[in-house]
Amino acid sequence: MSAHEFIREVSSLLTRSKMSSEELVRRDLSRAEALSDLNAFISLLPDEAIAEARRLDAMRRRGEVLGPLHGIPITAKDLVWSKGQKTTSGSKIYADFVPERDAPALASLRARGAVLLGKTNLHEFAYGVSNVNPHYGAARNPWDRTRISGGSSGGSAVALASGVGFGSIGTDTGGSIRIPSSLCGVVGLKPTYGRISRDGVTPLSWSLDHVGPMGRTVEDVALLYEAMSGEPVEAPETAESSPLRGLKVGLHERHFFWNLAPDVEASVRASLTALESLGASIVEIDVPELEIQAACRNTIAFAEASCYHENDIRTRPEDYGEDTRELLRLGLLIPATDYLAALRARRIVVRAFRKTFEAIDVLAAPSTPAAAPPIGASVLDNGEELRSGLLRLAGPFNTSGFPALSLPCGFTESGLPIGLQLAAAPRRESLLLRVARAFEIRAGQSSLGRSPAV
Amino acid sequence: MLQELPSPEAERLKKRFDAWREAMDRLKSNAPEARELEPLFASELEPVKKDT
Repeated sequence: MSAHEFIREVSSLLTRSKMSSEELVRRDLSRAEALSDLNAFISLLPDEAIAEARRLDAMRRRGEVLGPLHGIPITAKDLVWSKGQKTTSGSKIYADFVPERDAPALASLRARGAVLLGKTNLHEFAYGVSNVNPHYGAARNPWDRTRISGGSSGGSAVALASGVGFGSIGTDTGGSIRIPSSLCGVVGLKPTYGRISRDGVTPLSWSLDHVGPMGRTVEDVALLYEAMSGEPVEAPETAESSPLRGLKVGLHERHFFWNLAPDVEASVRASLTALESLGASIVEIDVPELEIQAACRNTIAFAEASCYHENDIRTRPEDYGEDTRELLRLGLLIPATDYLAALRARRIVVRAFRKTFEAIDVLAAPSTPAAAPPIGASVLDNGEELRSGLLRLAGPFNTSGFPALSLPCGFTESGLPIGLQLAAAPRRESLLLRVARAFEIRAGQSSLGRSPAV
Repeated sequence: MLQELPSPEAERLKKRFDAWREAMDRLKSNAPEARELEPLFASELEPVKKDT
C-alpha cells in the first residue's frame, strides 16, 4: 500500500511532459466515480474540469505556466460558490442554487491554474461534526467505511484521503476543517479569522466562520494557503538537524489532555517528544478562561446561524434534516442579551489567548480526543458525547480566531488516523506551517506514509 | 415556539435549551468581569480587510 502523490511530485511530471493535466484530471475523475460509495462528492464536474485541463495544457505548451498549481486538480466544499455550478450547502433548501460568481477563495486557486473537479459533501449547512447528511448521504471514512469522516468538511477530507484531488477548500466554525482532517488522516489549516475571504461562502456563524485549505501534506497545504491568502510561506531548513531550535511549544494539560482515548494520548505525547527532538522546548501553560469559551462559542453560533436561517426555519422547517432543524430552533430561543453577553465574554477569551502566546510560539494538542467513531454512534471512544467531544479541542481557536492546523501523527491499534493540532498567534500561519512541515519531514510524508486501502 | 411542536421534538428542544441555559449561566457567574466589557464584534478580529 503506497501513499498518494503530492503536488510537488505531480507538478514535476507535468513540467517534464510525463503527464498532461487532462490525463491527471481524467484519472482523478475515474477514481472519484469508482469510489462513489464513499459519498465524498455532491457533484462532479467532468465536462468543465476536462475542458479547463485542456486549456491549461495548451497554455503550458505555449510556455505560459501559472505556477506549481498549474493543471492540478482540486475540490471545494459545496458551500463555496462556484460560478454557474450548483452549490447546495449540503441542503435541500439550496439544492438548486447556482451562483453567478466564484468565491474569492476559489477564484484565487483557479487564477493559479488549479482545476475544480467537483463539489464535496458536507454536514447540512456545515452545522455539525459527523457529516452524516440526510440529503446526500454520509461521507464515509476511507480508513473504515463504517465510520464517520467527521465534519463539516468531511467530503473534502474523504476525497483527499482516497487520492482524489490534491487540495480542497474547507470551512471551519468550530473545527470543521481540523476534525475531518484528523479523522481521515489529512492536513487542514484554519487560518486567522478573516485571513482568507469568507465572501461567496454560505455562512454558518459569520463571526466564527473561517475558510482554509486542506491537503495530503503540510507542503501541499502551504502551497494552497499561499495562493489563497497571498502570504508567502517560509520553508523549513530541511538540512538542519534541529530546525525548531528555540521554539517554545505550549502544553495545556487541563483542557487539551483531559479524558483522551489512550491511543490518541500516546500518539500526541510521542509527537511532543518528536518536536523536542527537533529542537523545541515544551512549556506547561494554563488558560483558565478556556472554561468559558465553549458556552461563549455555542451561544454566538446558535444565535448567528438562526439569524441567517430565520425565514426558512420558520416557513419550511421540514426541509431541514432533524439535527440541523433542532439547532436552528434552539437558536431562535436565545435572548439578544445572552448573545451580547457571549460577545463580551469572548473579549476575555481573546485577551487570555493573546497573553498566552506571548510566552509560547505554538500550542500543541490533539485535534480530537478520540479517533473516528462508527456512523450512528452518539459517543466517542473516550465516552464524550459526539458533538461536544469533537468540538472541545478544536473550538477554542474559533472562539479566539487564532490560527490552528491539524496534521496526521499516528494511528490507533485498529488503524484509524490520529491528528496533532498546532495553534499560534494571529497571522502566524507561516510559523505554524514551518513547524508542521518540520514534524512531517521527521515523521514521514503524508499520513505517516500510509494510504487507506480503498 | 415549544408549544407549537409535537411533544417528542418539544421535549428534546427543551432539554437542549436547558443545557445551554445552564452553561450560559455558569459562564456569567465564572466571568463576572465580562459585564464591564464591550462586546467583541467580528470586525475587531479581522487582521486584514478583504475586498468583497
